[in-house]
Amino acid sequence: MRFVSGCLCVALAISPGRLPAQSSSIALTVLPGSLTVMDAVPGAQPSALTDQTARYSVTVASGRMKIAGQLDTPLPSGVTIKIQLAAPSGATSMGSVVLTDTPQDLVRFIPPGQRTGLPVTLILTATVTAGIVSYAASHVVLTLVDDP
Amino acid sequence: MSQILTYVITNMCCGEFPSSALVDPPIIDYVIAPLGVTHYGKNAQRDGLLITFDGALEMKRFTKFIAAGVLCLTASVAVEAQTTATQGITFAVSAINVISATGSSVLTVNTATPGSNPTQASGVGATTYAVTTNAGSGSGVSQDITIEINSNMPAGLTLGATLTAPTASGTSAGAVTLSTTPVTAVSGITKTAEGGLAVAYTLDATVAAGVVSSASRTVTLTIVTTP
Repeated sequence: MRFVSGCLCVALAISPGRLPAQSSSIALTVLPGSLTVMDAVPGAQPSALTDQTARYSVTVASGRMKIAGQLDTPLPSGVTIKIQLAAPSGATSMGSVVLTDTPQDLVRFIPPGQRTGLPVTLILTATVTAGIVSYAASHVVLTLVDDP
Repeated sequence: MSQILTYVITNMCCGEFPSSALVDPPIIDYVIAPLGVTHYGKNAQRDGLLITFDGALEMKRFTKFIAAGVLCLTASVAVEAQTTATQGITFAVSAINVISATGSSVLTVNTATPGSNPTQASGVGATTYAVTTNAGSGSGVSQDITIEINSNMPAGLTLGATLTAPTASGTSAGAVTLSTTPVTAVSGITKTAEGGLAVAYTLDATVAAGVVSSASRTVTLTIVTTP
């Protein structure tokens, strides 16, 4: 009976219905440096800044999943951050997506498997109406969810 | 004992002790509060935080519960998925003030109204400029465009220029006389990105200038910040 108690406890935590979802994960593994828009062609809007240093890893235990992305805080008016996640094999990247505070699909149809070091492209753009923007921080939130 | 039970109640909260493991006939009841044991006595019930077990013998079972709880908690942590990743991004937009000019212009004074100085000549050829600035007026500064030439004109000749102001902002100074000293041609530009803005040149000559051989000047447009 004593041993059964321990087994019951473990069984509660690792029930078959919860294991697949709990084994899937996503992580951003390399951080980009500061992104600064600082140049323009005369007569045109400021030139976009592209950063491709960030990387992400994703593990899908079973089923089919997708990655949604959003910002935790809105950007200043006239400032835009686009993100593009390279798709793991068998998945589909949604291309360059403008990040907002609403989740948007970035990669879909991710099959089971583990992939690391996948490129993340960040593009910072600003219009002249944004003016001069002091260094500010925002957070990109990537969420791995089931893809119906 | 009290410390152990405190530890247990912590794991019970987080690790979900199976209540079915606590149904054996107990002898001693322990009421476990977040800070430890607060009451014990003969009872056969378990209610909420009230856990029962059977004296010293059952303490071994309770120890088993502790081990199971730790195992339960460890297992739970081990399989906990990280399905959200967050990454901070630091960004900024620097002050951007750029300007360019294109085209060339030819000006020839070759006629006059009898009794007057020679007639003013207008430039032939498309000359335009483009400007981008993200400077705002909120900080009390704006951008002006100044114009100058690389060497002064001969005596009796006057080279003038008129810059069209951007539609978004700015005010043209109208026709200005060019020299090696910069002069403001457009003022008050803020948050503008426009191209194809016209630059019109004029050349005036007095009879005192006489006949002047062909010469050229380089015109420089500069965007400057004014407080």
